[in-house]
Amino acid sequence: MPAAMPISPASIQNLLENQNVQQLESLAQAARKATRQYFGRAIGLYTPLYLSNYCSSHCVYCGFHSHHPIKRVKLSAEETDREMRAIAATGIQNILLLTGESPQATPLDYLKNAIRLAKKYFQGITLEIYPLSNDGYRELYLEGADGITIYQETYDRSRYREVHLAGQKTDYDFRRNAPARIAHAGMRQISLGILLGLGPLAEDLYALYSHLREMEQSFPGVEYSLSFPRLRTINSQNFAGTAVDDTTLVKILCLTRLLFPRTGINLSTRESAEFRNRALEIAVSRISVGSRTTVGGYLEGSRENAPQFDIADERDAEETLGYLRDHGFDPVFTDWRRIANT
Amino acid sequence: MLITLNGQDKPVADGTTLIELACQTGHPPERLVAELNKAIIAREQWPRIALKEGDSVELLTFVGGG
Amino acid sequence: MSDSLLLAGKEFSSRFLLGTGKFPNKADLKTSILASGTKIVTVALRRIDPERHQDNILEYIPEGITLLTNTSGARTAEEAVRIAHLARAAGYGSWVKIEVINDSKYLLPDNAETVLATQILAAEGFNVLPYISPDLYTARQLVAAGAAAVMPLGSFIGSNQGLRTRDFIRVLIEEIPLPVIVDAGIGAPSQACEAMEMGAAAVLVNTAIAIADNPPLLAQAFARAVTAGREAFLSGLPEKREQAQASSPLTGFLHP
Repeated sequence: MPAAMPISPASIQNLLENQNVQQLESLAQAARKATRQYFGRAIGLYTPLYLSNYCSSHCVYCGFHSHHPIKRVKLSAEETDREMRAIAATGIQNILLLTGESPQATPLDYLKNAIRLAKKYFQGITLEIYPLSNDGYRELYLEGADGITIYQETYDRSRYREVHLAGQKTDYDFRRNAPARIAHAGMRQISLGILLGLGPLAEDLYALYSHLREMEQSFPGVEYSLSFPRLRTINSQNFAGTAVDDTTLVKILCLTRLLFPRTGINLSTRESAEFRNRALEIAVSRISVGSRTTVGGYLEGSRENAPQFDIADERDAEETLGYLRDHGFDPVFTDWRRIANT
Repeated sequence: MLITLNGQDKPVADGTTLIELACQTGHPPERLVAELNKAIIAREQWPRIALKEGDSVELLTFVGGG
Repeated sequence: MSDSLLLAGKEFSSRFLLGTGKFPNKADLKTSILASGTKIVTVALRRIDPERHQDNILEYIPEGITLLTNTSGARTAEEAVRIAHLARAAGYGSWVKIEVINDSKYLLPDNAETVLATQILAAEGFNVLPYISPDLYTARQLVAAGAAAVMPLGSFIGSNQGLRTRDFIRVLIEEIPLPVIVDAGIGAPSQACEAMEMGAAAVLVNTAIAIADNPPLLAQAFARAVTAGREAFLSGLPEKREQAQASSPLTGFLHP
């Protein structure tokens, strides 16, 4: 019989409140040991490309939400192609394609076209987009997508309602059930996560871990990873409910690594170079490299539009790769080469 | 007439029924299972089944096993 | 709250199953059953010997014990199904342990044929307990087929080597939403206890008891070991602690 979760929201809360410096160090040592054992020093690399900031949802914490008077931009096929070429020139082989929540501006065909273009340059293609139906995910998969990133943001229903005011994003269950649809469609990789600082932390962690276990039970062949983006300022405005400090994030990374030794843990450029460097030593297995969170932005002189969030690690690909190599990490550009998705 | 019982030739009187054959073994019939020509015969039917020349009967019972 | 063993919707007060094979003295079998408190015993079906009359094993099995007919002798799914049908015709209920072995050297079960037999018999309403080499994919297929439990072997039949397959049994306990009953190779009560501490639902023992000098006493010991292991599991055993590594601090940067 599958065992109950070995921790509870209360025990997570205890961990978060524990001030003992020695115990934190032991926790980190144990997490590092597990990471070395299951991942070695391999760090998976990817770069995100925002295709569009059109959005019809209103998530109060996001730089792209529908009520922001930002300039709405969507990459044409030609622009997409040029941006992708620029990213590929840095040597990165995995791309994450992102859009706002707008099925009207960036419908399925638009996404499929983007995948088609990405296949020319990248071995690994994942997307972070609005939730689709089973059929929608299936079409993306058959076009050549390897995986989907989708964060529930918070699993607390009433907080979810408070921060998601309009649009498709208000449908909590459609979003929460998306991972199962994604797996049904045949996708190989699924990345889940919560937005730290948005909802009740211990409860959200517990819910995220439970969701992952559920998915592992039902879809054991999928490669899972988790992310813990911290709510950050957007053009220096702060939307966090409760601040999540560095120590807390380190505890979360350690706990996650120990509970799920084989699950990938991703840390994006929301975090500073210094923090990412430290976290790489402990529990992280995947990082974004040389990121821009504006639409496009990889071509010379094209940082014209509003970012989704402020980037803290501004190192470009070359600098980041240099750091990894200098510190004995094993940067992984490709896990496999695609033949075809069937 | 000649029938086969548990893989071995056995002469029996013409018109012997399955129940009579079972009783001849010395095992209480309620502990036995019977197959006639590869078909399982329910115990209630045994009095009504008259054996014919060449029939193959399997009589089995429970024994110790792991 | 009751901690009965729940199999196919029926409750059993003991998590210790006894095999009835190889007992030199049948009376010992009856005493062993009573001393251990077991509620499920396995039996096999064999041709009677028309020339000799033997005491029937059923004489030595008290009332109220569930008979689990073992399809031993079957080398294919088809043969296992036939044996199950025969057992049902005997009027002793629909509990069957599928044992399909086509290997006389190691007596390892044929997982694929076992899955086939389970699919057929479960659909016919049998309560099927399949005996397998502990393999996750096989176990998942058995869940889908409607098995009432999975019975992974601990080590080779009759070897008394204990839980050689413990890591793989642990995977099944973790991943399979059916009772996991460890069967085969359990030679000592401590091994049965270990299986229960790991979270097994029950344990089946035959050879160790049948060939002991004092089968009823050993059967009782096994039953107690099963209870002890189960209680340990329910109480939540403490984790074995790792030693702390002496190495450069990873988290010093958080509190400069």
